[in-house]
Amino acid sequence: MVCLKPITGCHPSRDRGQGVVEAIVVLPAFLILFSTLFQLFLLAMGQVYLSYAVFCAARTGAVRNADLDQMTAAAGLILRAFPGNIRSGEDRLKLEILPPAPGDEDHISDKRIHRDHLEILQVRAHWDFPLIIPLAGRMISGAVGSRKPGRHPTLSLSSTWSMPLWTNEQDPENGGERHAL
Amino acid sequence: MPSDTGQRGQILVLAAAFLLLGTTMLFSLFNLSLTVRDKVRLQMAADMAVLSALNVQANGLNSVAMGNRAILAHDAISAQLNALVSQASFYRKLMDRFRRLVRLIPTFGTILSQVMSVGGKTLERLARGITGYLIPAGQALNSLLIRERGLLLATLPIQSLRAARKAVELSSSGGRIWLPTQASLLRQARSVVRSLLPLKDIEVKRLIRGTVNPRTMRRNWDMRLGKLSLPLRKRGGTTIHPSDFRAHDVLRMKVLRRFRWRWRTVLSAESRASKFGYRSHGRILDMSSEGPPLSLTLVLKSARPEPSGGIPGPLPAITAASSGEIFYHRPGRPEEHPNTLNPFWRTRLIPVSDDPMAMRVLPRPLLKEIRH
Repeated sequence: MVCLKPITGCHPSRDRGQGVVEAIVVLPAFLILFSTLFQLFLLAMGQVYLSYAVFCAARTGAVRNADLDQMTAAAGLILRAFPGNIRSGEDRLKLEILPPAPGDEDHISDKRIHRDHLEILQVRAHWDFPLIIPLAGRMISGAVGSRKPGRHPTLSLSSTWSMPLWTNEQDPENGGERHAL
Repeated sequence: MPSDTGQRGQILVLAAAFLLLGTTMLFSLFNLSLTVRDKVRLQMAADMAVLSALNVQANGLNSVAMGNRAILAHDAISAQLNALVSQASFYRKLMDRFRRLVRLIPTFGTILSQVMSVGGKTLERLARGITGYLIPAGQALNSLLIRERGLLLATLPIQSLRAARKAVELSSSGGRIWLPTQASLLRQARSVVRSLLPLKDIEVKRLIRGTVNPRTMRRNWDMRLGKLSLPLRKRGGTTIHPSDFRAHDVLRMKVLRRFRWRWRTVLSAESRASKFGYRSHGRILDMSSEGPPLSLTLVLKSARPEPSGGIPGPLPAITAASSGEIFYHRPGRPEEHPNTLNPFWRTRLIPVSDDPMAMRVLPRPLLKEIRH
């Protein structure tokens, strides 16, 4: 607080409540700063979790014939372990298998893949990450321009992973045996 | 002293709290990313280790298959060379018979007869010389192949383990193959070796018969004049004995004997491979019908090195498990039964839950953790 009078002449009774006013001004600013920091921290953690979840999904797909259900389940298991109240890994998660080459989308039909044409499994995941911190979440989603209907604003995180597909041969559907002997 | 000295540093408390919280978050984020990085690397290393160990075994089986084929090829060549000797001998004898007729031709008869005599003898000598040199060479190669195969199979378990360890060493820092799974790798590789049994004689004969040129097995001709069959025919072939080949060529003529037409042998030649140093057919190894356990699971454990700049203190060990199998797949013939006569053994990764051995070896907490 600035004292216009000579310093020595300042009356102590006039300074009363000065701390409260300062606190009222400063604390919300700090609170917003803290919560934004925490929300950003959760977001960064979410991105790390998503990267690992996509890796697990790709690894599962690589050994389970690119079965999208199993891949989603594997990724969901990882996201479910995310700390805090951010659940529902599976329903907010969308996995897609990228086509082997541009314009080759016809190789992918529903959840099955024509294995003859696919040797590398490329998986991309989108996760609508809920920004649960009240004010910071809205600020971040507003800044990014991502507004989706729901209880909490969300921000879409995405991650991609590629892995060799190990089950493109000897598929039982193609007449081969799953096990060697 | 100014009156606000007591208020100095009040922002410092908030700044310190803010910094502390920020630093803690940053470090835990850093730590989490390192954990994920290490886990991914360890999983990759586990995959590499399993594939390396299994590739050694698949390559071993393919080598056995190639060796089997080489042994069969040497046996087939021995049979063909032996047949060549028999044929050369047969034609030399035939030319000797014709020589008597040719001599009757005026002017050139004597010369032609001499040429036929020398030619027949040279042909036979050449056939015998080549056979006498190549059959022992084939036998020596066979014994060399069998010894090499023995060495390969004896060292297969340890080579598999070494390959797995090398893969871990190259692709992961600080990762170690969990000891019980190392033991199961050795057991699995040993059972692959033990499943290779020598084929029965009858099967070996069948394989040789399939490998040898059909003209070696049967070389018959009949003399015909248009549609009229002349009473002269040649029969020849190779018989596969338990440890020898017998080639024979016979010329028969129909003669009237006791008021009946009968075939009478007028010329014959025979050759045995054993006379040229052939000792026995090569030992062919094939996979027993039960088959060995072809899947393998390895678990890698890593005591993570402390991240540079991270929060000091003991960090938890991370684990990764991977399963794979060797399988037989002949392109274009998916129904072919796995065998060690064709080199089509390959490897691939499989879900850990598909390996029955893994369920027995791995501890329950780890099984719960494995997601793929």
